[in-house]
Amino acid sequence: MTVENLVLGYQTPHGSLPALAGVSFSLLPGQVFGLVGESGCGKSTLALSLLRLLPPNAHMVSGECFFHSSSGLVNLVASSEKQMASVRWKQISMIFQAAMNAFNPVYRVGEQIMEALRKHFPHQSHAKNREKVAQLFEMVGLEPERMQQFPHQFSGGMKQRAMIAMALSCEPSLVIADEPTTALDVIVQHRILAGLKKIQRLKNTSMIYVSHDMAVVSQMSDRIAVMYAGKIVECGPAAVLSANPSHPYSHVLMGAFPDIHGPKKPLKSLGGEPPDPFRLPSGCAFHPRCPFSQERCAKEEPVPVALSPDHVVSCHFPLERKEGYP
Amino acid sequence: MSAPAILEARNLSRFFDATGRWLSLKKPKLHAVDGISFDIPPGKSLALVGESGCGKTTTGRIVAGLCVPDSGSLVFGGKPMDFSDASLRKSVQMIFQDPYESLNPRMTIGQSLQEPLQIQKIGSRAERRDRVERALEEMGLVPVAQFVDRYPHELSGGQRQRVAIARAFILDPEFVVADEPTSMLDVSIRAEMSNRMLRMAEQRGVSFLYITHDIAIARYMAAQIAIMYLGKIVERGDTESVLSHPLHPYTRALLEAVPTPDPAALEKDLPIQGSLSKPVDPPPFCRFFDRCVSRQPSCKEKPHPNLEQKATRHFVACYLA
Repeated sequence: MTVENLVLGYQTPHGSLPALAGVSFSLLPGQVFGLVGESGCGKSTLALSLLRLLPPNAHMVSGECFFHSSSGLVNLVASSEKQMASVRWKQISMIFQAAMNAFNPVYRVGEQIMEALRKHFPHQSHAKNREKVAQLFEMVGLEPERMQQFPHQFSGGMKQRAMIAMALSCEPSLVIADEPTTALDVIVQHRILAGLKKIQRLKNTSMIYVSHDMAVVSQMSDRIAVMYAGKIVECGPAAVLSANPSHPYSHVLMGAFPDIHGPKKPLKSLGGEPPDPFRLPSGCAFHPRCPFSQERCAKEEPVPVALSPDHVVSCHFPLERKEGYP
Repeated sequence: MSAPAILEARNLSRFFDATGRWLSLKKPKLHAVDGISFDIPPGKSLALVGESGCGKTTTGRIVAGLCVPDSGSLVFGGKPMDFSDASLRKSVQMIFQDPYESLNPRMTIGQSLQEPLQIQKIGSRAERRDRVERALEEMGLVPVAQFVDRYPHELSGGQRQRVAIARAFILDPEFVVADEPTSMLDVSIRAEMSNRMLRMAEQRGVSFLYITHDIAIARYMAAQIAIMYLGKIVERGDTESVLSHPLHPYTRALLEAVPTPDPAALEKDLPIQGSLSKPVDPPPFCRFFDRCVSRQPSCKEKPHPNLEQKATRHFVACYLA
């Protein structure tokens, strides 16, 4: 999948609110791509826009999104609703943030997953579908007997697992996971992440993993993109970003979580608030909160610079690698 | 441990009615908090850590006087806690999880902040106004004039939580219960808020009961830690000692589940089995038995273990530790 220069806004009573200001990235088959940032930075908008699931007041300004589907290259931005319907779930599926609300309370959980199978594989027999769902349940660590139960009989973690089973039901080549573990306790979170990673490796599925938790994203992803105010400010291999981030914002995000190992060190904090999208600062959008900002940052908008072939950063003064950070 | 504790909690219990079988006469009881004890020395903080439903919030509410315990006693500053005493209410304050719900939407920030002063009859109108302005300044809500007359809906989540913290501190309390004060906030703001609370506590010698599910933030905020599981404290002690030498199998599982940037961490199985249940009419043996990976048949024959001292200021409730 390749996304090029996606620009997107929301129509609001106060005018158009820019949500994505030119986002580009590419994703290889079998790769996990992590998207991190604060709430309101546009990461969920980006995830939803790929499946064109945005609310009606969102409007695409420009950009392309090419996806290598089984039936050839599709431009997800320009394709018809009918084409999209064949791509959704069968090719690209999504694990939503609030799995608690993603199931219909009056249908059995197994039935709801089979519905997706029936829709996309109309010729498959009922028995075969049932067998498939039972397999999926086992894969995500749920007893197959639970297919007969209703969503209210599931705990939060179990619903999230069922959601993952549903997302994988049509064996998509890309899964978009939007904060799938935010509402869960650590032990449940660990199990779900481990399960998701195992299945992803087994099936060689590509994945876009959206979260605000830098530790979780680095654990799950091969590549990470850090978003700020609707833009990708840094993008590179997960190992590089988590150990030596170059953009000051990625650096703060990494240091904002307390650690349980090693010496206790003060948490890094950013002054100020995330920017108001109606009044984005001039120049680099991050400069009012940046500990290293200089005069040039307020005037010129930084362009993406490649520090190495697969590590790009948008900053006038990227942090040196492995030097004493202040 | 020489200084007398600012807060001593002894054998606190709180049971709730759970929904039982239809028409059954015996009402099942949910043991939200089941006989827990702890001390908090003055100026020190205790972090209460556990998964959702372990009773940590109920414990916090009991200590703040928002929930009456079924049994047990609380001693505050050497005297039994009496919540009908207004001066006690002054010294114990609470910060809630959700800054969207803990501020009255129909009061301005200034009104919300000066209300406790008014109730406690502190200062003249001008003095109160002055104190409110200082409190806002301390929390970095400047210029103050811009904030006093605003309503909560005009502020962001981070700003609202700062107001809630300022309000908890405005009466100069000795003890503050903070129930997941940063879990609803954005990551970058979370760090700032934690640092501010630590600074306030240090400057004024305030003790915290810091309730959280995040063991890493607990380490950051408090020198003492207590791990709760289904209404019981299973391990308690100096934070560094508990985290570097966890003795209870549950603490070990919690620690291993904390996400780290290392992808290899996902490949290990956690040392815990099954899933969290509810403490409704719990069995008479160890609460953790069903999920314990190192359990022995003998554990099932004995009652739930008591907290026993294993090292200096390090207690654990496990027969096998």
